[in-house]
Amino acid sequence: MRTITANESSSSIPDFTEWMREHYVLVLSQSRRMLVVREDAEDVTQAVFVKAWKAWDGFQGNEVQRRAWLLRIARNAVVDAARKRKIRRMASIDLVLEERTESVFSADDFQGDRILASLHAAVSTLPPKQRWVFQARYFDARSYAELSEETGTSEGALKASYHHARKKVESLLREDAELIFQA
Amino acid sequence: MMFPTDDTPTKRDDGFRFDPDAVERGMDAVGRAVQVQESPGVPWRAIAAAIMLVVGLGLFIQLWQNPKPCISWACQLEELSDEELDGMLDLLNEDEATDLWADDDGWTGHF
Repeated sequence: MRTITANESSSSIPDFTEWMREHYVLVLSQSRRMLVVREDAEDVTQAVFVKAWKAWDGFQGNEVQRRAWLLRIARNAVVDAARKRKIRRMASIDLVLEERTESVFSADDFQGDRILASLHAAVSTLPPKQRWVFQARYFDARSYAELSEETGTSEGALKASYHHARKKVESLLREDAELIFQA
Repeated sequence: MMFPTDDTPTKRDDGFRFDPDAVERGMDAVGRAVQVQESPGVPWRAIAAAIMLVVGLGLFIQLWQNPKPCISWACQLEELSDEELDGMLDLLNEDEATDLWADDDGWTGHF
C-alpha cells in the first residue's frame, strides 16, 4: 500500500487540487450524460478524482497525456457505474422514455428544451459502452482516433458502435416527437 | 435533429449547467476522501501482529513450562513403575484366568 508522508502530501495536493478544479466539470458533465440520476453522476465524479489522486505521483506524462489519462479513468468509472445501476425495465420503452425525459427536463441542473431532454432519455436506454461513444462523439465531438487510443478499440468498431447508437436514438426520438406533437 | 457526420464533428450543448457551489462541494468531498486516506488511522496490521506475537509467546511459554502430557497408551506404559507394571500384568493374568473377556466377540457381533 502506498504510504504518504506529510512532505509528499503538501507538495502534490495543491497541484492536484488546481488540476482537479480545471477538469472537474469535464468529468461531471460526462458522468451526468451517462447516468440518469444526478447524485450518481456526482458520486462517480468524486470517485474518479480520488482514483486519480491515488495514482497521481506515479503518473508520468505531459498535460495532454494526463488529461487523456483522466478521461480514461472517467470512462471506465462511468461505464462500470452505468452497468451496476442498470435497472431491469418492466415498463414499455415509451413509458420509460417519457419518465426519463420528464426526469431530465425537471432536473435543477438542466436548462435545455424538451427535445434535448428526450435525447438524453433516449441515450440513457443505450448499452453503457454505446452510450459513452455516443455522448463523447455527439456532444464533445471527440475524434475516433482519440477515442480509439483511449479505449483500445479500433476506430472501425467505434464508428460501428456510434452508428448503431445513432440509429437507435433516431428511432426512439421519432416516436417521442410524435407523442409530443399529439399532446 | 442533426447528427454529426464522421468527418465534421461539432460540439453540442448538452443542456446541463452545474452550480458552482455544487462543484465546490464535490471537490471538497474529494479533498476529504483524500485526507482520510492520508491520515494514518488505526494501524490494524500492527495491532494484529502484536496480538499474534503475544499469543505466540504465551503458547511457547506454556509448552516450555508444561511438557507434553502423557496421553497415549505407550507413554503411560513407559511411565509405570516396575511395581505398577507387575500389578497390571497380574490383573491381566487374573482376567484370563477368570475368562472375563470370553464373550467379547459375541458382544461386538451385535453391531
